[in-house]
Amino acid sequence: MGHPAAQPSNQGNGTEPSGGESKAPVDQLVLHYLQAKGYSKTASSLQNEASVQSLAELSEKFNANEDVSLPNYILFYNQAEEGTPEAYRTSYGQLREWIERSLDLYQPEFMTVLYPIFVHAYLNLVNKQLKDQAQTFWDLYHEEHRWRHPADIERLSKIQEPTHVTENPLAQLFQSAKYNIRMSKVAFELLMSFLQEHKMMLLLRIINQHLSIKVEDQPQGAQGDVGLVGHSNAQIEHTNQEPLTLGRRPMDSDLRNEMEQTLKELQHHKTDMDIDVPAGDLLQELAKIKKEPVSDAPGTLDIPYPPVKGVDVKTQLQELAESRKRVALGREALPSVCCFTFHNTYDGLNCTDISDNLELMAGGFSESYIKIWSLTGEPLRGLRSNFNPAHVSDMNDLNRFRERTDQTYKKLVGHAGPVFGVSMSHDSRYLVSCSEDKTARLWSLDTFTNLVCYRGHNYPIWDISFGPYSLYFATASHDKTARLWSCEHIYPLRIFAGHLSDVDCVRFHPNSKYLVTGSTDQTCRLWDVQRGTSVRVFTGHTAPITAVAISPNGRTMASASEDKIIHLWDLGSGKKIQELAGHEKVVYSLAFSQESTLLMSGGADCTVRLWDVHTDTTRQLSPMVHENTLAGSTDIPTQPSVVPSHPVKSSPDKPSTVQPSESLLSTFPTKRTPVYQVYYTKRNLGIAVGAFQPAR
Amino acid sequence: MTVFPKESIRNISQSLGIPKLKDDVASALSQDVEYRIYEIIQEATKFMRHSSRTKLTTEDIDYALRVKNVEPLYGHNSFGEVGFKRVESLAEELYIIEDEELDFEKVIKTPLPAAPRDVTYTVHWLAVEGVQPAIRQNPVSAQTVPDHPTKKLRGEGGTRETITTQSAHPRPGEEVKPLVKHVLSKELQLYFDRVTDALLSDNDVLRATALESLGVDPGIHQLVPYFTQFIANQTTHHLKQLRVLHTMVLAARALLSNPRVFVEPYLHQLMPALLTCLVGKRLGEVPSELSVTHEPSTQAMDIEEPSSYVRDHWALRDTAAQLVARICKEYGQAYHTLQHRITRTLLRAFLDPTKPFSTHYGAIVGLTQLGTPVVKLLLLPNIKAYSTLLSAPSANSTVAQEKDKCYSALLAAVKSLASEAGEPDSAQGQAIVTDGLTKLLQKHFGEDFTKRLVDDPTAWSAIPVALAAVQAGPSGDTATGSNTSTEATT
Repeated sequence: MGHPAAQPSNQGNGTEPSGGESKAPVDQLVLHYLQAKGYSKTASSLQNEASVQSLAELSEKFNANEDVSLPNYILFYNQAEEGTPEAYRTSYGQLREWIERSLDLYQPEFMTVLYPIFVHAYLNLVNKQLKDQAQTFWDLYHEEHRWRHPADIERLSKIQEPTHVTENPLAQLFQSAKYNIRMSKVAFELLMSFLQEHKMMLLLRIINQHLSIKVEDQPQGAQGDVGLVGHSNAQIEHTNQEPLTLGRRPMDSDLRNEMEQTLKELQHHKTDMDIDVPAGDLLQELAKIKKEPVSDAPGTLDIPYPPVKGVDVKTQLQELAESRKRVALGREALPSVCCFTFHNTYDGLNCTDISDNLELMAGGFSESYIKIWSLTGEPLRGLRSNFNPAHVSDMNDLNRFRERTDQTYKKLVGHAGPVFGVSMSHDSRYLVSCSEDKTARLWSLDTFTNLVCYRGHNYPIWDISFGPYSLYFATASHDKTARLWSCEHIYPLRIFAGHLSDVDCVRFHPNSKYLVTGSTDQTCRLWDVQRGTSVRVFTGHTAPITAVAISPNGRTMASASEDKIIHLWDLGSGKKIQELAGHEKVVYSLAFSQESTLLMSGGADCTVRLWDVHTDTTRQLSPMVHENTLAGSTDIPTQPSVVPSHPVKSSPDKPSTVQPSESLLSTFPTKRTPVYQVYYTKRNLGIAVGAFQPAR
Repeated sequence: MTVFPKESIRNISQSLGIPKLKDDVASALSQDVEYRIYEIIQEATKFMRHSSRTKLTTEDIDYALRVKNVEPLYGHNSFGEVGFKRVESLAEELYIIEDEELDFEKVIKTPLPAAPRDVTYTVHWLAVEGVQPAIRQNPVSAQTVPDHPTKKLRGEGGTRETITTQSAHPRPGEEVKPLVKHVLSKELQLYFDRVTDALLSDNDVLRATALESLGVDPGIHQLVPYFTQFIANQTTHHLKQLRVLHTMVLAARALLSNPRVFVEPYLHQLMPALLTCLVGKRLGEVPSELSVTHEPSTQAMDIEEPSSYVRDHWALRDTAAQLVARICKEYGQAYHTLQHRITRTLLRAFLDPTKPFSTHYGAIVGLTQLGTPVVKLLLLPNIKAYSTLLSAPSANSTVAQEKDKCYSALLAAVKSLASEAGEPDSAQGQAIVTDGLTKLLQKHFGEDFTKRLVDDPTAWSAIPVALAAVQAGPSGDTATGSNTSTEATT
């Protein structure tokens, strides 16, 4: 039975008959309907039984399991509307007109309701194979939704057949998932009484079936969890209240003791280690870390790690020494940025990564290979293929079997499709890559060979990222999942499912307990690695997510989407802090400075931009102030010193309408190099990587 | 909504051996085909985005088809343009992809194309402590373009002054790191050197050519800050050389009259130099050596031969006065404090009795050039007090000459009122010069000046206007008069 309007009568028929005062008119209606549809047998049987469950009871029953506070007047079948296929158009038009004439105060709220109603009305018309009506309806009203939902409108515009509706993922989403809306009480009641008064039962039914309206005392504006998320508002709210432990992972006590020991020995010149910072200073630093209050740190057992090795002590000490040389960055102290420009790539370079010690750089190419460059000028030597492993007893032996070459680059061949992501481990000894061929691969940067091939995804893998301790890595795939892997296992340890569309990017939280993903379904999610569940959902983008980043202090997240706007989120509350507009094309990469005060972004518009990150926590705690910052950051005082030093170029041939946000501190254009990756070193030196595009 | 015409569907079906396709079948198919194509493009754009590209390639389509479990279309590439050829023989429009026949022999014999160059990388500083260095690898940033419309004269001051060039005299011990650097092409640098050399040379022809070039050349935009700097430097360093000063004033005039050059942001550098030339204390070698043969001429604008009056600092002041007035007129709208500031400077020079008469002369000429309202408000009320200064016995003939000059300048100022008022009828003026009027004039302007005024028949027509102005204005002591009138001009 394709007609949803028949639902009440069917249900009524199926249930146990019961007497009621109001049943007579209802029976009459049902009878009318059945006769009009030509179901004469059913009609006659209904007449015979003559006792149908009353509508009031029915709607009550319906209401019980619904978080929507719809009154009891739903699912009323309207004869007049059924008769005319124009009904959708006329009633939608009336609703629109009413909204236009309504108070300015409520208009934005009504507008958010209008969009899902529009989509469902159109889909219903298509489903009923009323092609012409659907067409005119679309032509009349789609323009006004285009500015807010450009991608959706574009995708829906192609749907013309009922088969398309069943196949189109977006249409399916609209039909299966509820569209979340927040409304103030007054606005909701106004809307309901209007619809009821004008007997717009078609629209009421849409609202009832496909919308999940959260009625609030205070209007929140269009912010928050609005739209298709796959969860209802209440669920998201519930999820986003889950407690998180965002603090730094406490240092292993054994490791710290070892480090202290080594430093003390170093102080008395007992051991040799090339650290150019006085050991005494480092000891102090270590003591400081020890004393640091660990408020919401995850337990050491939350994420299992192998026991500490001797080599870890050295790398940790070096890291500590490095961090002492860090340049403090902020609004007044902007970083230096070093730009690596690739030439002769012929659009073949897809992704890059640079090692933490700045010695190696990796690039993934469309032609299925990965290339490693030595940035120090040291030749990269793999092992010769013809040696007997039995002759190797130690490292020196092995080094004798190295290739005799002076090349400062190395090609890694193994993938069978474009390489979409590369990520280097933090000790710069391993590389993981992902590709269109549905595999991820682990490569050794010592021998330059493929060590492991990880199979598990059924569709191309879009992104890959090593975790903070280089044991785990995560992949994001076209198959709508992200997966967690350990280098030692060829099967995924966790599968993070929940996104409604492709997962486009994935990054680890610095304490390794969480993952953040960005998806084509226009949301970002934070996942608990241990439990494999989604703990935060970030809605607000209006286009697929292209890049995500978490600040080193673990409190803030940045995400960029195809709509060229970067959003800053507070992980703890799941609330948006800021919207950063300014980029003129897609943003490819985001990076936080080591103190989490500055955000660097690079994109297809050939610029690197620096943004100020306000993480004033007091500001987001109270919702009122929070809203003010969103409304246009009017409460942030304008200082002449922070005016962007490079105003956005407004070339005469392409007038740019992008008004850069106030947080934009600086813009560094490159000549013709789209910036694929931005990165901050431990010392807070900015790195930008891109491929030069010669003019045609 | 349909972009895929059903005719195409019919053509394709014909090529597949279905000769007659029903109309509704074709239209239904076309809609479905369009939808499928759209789906595939949607999928392909994901591949494009993850390849960090902004251009869709045929490979993207192939991968999208693979994801959809459809066999990819082989044999297409993204290189070069796809040529569609119209089939002429048929009545309806039909296009096919051009598929040219290749001679196998020829293909084998042609030498292999050069291998594409290997991928390399270069490193450069995109920013150093938040400032983008002006090196070859970085684009010329938007800020170095001098005519940015939002730039204000005030805001420019800080950065511009730090710019030095190799050819403009860098002051020793003043190694200021420029905040923003210009990227100047070799040609422009060469041009700058040539023009400055020519301006300072003794060759009149060369100098005239250089000035003309400054006045009309469209391409010297980038050099404007350097030229203004040059003018300012030369003026301060060569106060004794009238020739240089004169050339600089003319150079400034040329720059201002060049229609393709935007001088506005650099006015603040030009103005001091021009004012120096106008009210400078001692301009030229020794004043006594100067001949006074040159008549003070307010119409010096059309003199194109600079050498003829190069020895005369009065003429220099005249030219400078015109230029200052012109700047006030042109840019007064944009910077409304400009005229006010200049007027105040000039008035102060005029009212200061300790200043030499040459300075007074410059001030009078300058004020005169600023227009009749200024003359009426600021000059006329002060004439009486000033004449007492002039009528004091002079020490030597030079000073006497200077005083004479000042009188002439004042006279010219009053005359300018007449031309403004548009009363050419001097006969009428002659008729009204009576004793009573003379007395009135004496009361307002002092005896000496009245005498000169009455003696000069060409000035008569201005007398009524001047009298009306001075009577309308607050009479009495000059100090209050000047004060109120200064306020009036603001």
